Amino acid sequence: MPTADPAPPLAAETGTQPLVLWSVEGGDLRRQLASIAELDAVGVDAVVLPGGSLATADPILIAGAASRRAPRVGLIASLSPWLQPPFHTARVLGTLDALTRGRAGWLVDPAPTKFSATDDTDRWTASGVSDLAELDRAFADYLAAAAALWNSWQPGALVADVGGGQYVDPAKVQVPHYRGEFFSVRGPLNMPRSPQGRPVILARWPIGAVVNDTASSHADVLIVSQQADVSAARNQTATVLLELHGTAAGAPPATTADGYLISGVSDPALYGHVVHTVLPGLLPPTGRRGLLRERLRLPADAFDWTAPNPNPTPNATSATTKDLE
Amino acid sequence: MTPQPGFLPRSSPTDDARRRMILGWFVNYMPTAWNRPWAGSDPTSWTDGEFYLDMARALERASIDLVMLEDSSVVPENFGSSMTAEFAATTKSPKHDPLPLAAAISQTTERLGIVTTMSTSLYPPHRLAQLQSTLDQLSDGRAGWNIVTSFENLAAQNVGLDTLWEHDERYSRADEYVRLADEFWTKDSVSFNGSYYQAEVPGTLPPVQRRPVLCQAGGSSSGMDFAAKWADLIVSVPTGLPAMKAYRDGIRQRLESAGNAPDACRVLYMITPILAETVADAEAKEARMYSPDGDNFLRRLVQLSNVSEIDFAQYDLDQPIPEDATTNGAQSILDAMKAATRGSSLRQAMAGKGESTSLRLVGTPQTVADQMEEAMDFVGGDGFLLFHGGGGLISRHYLDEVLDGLVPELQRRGLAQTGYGPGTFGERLAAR
Ligand SMILES: Cc1cc2nc3c(=O)[nH]c(=O)nc-3n(C[C@H](O)[C@H](O)[C@H](O)COP(=O)(O)O)c2cc1C
Repeated sequence: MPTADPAPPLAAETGTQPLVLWSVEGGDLRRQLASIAELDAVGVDAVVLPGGSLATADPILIAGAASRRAPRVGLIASLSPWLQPPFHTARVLGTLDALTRGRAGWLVDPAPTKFSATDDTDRWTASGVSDLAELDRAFADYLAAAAALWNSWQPGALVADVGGGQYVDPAKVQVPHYRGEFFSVRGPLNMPRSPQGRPVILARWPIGAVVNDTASSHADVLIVSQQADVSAARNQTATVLLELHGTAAGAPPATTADGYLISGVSDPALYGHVVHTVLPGLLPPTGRRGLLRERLRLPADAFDWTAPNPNPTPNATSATTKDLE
Repeated sequence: MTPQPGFLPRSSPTDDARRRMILGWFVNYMPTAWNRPWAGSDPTSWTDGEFYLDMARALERASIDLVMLEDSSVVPENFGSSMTAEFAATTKSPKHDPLPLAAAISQTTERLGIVTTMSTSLYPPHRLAQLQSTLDQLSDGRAGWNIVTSFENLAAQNVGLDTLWEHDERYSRADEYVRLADEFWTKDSVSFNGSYYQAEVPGTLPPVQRRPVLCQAGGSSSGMDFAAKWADLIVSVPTGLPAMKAYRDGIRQRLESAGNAPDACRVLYMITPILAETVADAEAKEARMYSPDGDNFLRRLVQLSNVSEIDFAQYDLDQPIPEDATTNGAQSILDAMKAATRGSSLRQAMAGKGESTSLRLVGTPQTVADQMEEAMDFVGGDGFLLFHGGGGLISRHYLDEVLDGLVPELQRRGLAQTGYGPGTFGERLAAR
């Protein structure tokens, strides 16, 4: 974890160009897909796709749909963990990372659910839970379960050894047997390790009433809404983005953050101005390429495979959250 | 049983349309034929989905009605109590989540029906409804859901359960599950209080079609009851013409006795045609594919272990299954294998023929088209689900044989469509 620089130079002074991420407006799917393709063409580093309620389209599927017309841009899904068990989330994000050759991200949103959906099993659900401390503990557990799954296949497990008759080296796949306070998942994942190892995790800072909450202490990238929060966020993580909402995107201010998240640009005239006039001044002419985590200047070791604890304890949280720090 | 509201055609089907088979292709988002002569240059490149996107385009070029993407959520340990045999045979793992791939296919095709498999035992109903609605919107009314209830306890343990419910209870839960999903698709807000599921959801995303096309593969009596009640399209693999006809008649009877139109539901039979330029060449290929000495034999044994959850590694391949053998898995499959191996052996019983095909279809495009035509005349409809997973993994080479050889032959005879009709996937199926 990098330590805080008391007076970081402005991005402009270091000569590094700022990162630019764009939060796509919800609504009509055709328009969303067209906008993602356009932002890809102008070289935006990543788009954040809206999720958040059962009344909106699933952002991971929008990302999958966009993956061919938008072949370079990072595709980040805003997704509540409370929609489904950790296995499904780990699996679908792993697939998105494979399908996009390493461009998947997850903007975590562990806010209380606006719906209630339960069944007759005794599995914990977030439905009806408004205690933020409980949700925060549950979210730490959820992330640890997902991390254990993403860590269940070592790099190089796909050997495709025709002579030896083995497609996967079984010694490179471990069963995590994850058991936490809220979630348990046997594993392993049924898919190989994805190109980035796992999706990039982003969170808004501070996320809510809980200070030092799970989301912001585990995120690779933190999004702040004012310059005054940048240095505190930097104490938590490597990459910090300043959110520019609406008209603020028309004239990006100097910032000590690593770049911007542009959001709330729904007015067509403003959209045209930002995309065609503002962005070309911020982005390298050909755009950045490669894995999303590299583009976001994240330390590679945060994504490395780690040998699982040989004697998993019943309360395995501590052994596995490490992978996300 | 009441539901079965189904889809209505935009116009009533003509006799020519009725003669045409419905054709689908069943495929797994898994390694392609990595250990076969037509493996291609990179045996691990399947993960980025490009192979399957190309495949979907090829299916659409051949006017195939639908692609069905299989799913499961497990690395099986049935054969030899470890993952090793599975990782040699690759019958279920490694596998990617079919849903993001289906979303990508929705943008690279325009008319192909896109059916995704999702398990009622593994996904929460609200999430299933949202994902299927999203796919239906992205594809402009081409989504279908292959409703499965899963049978692997290891998959249950991936979603926080110890075991799955037993077979018939899974179907009774699935019935309530689909009723709830249907509410998500047809109502602005849902308030549901069932015996298994409860939901208070203020708003959900509506699909383009009134609901995704419902597909199902019930083989058992409770499975067939469920299918007749809900499914627009059934996929099945009864073996031989009499069993195929009995299956279709069983579905029609169930529909009729519930007061529904007997043809409200289409039935497809899974087939693995083996094609070559001469019948003799095709037969030689079949012999190699189902030879008890090749590596494909291990694949079929592992597959048998996985569908039955019985460890066939414990039995001597050159002996009959012991009469006193018992299992916690599928007793019916163990009993069938005892009967099949009595006086012979596991190796002999499995040699020479494949499991994943309703008919033995081995020959040239012409002779195989003859057999498919006769089968449809005898059974009464409605079409076939192509699959190469049982005999071997998928390759472009195999796709070409079927899509450039067999399908054009069916088209020349007026037995397969040469383009797509108007409307949504559900409307197109109903017009056939
Ligand atoms: C063509 C076909 C496709 C199937 N696809 C799947 C699948 O993708 N995932 C799955 O878990 N089960 C799948 N099944 C299994 C069925 O859902 C079902 O469990 C099986 O046909 C046995 O019938 P029963 O459930 O009535 O006993 C498939 C079966 C058939 C015949």
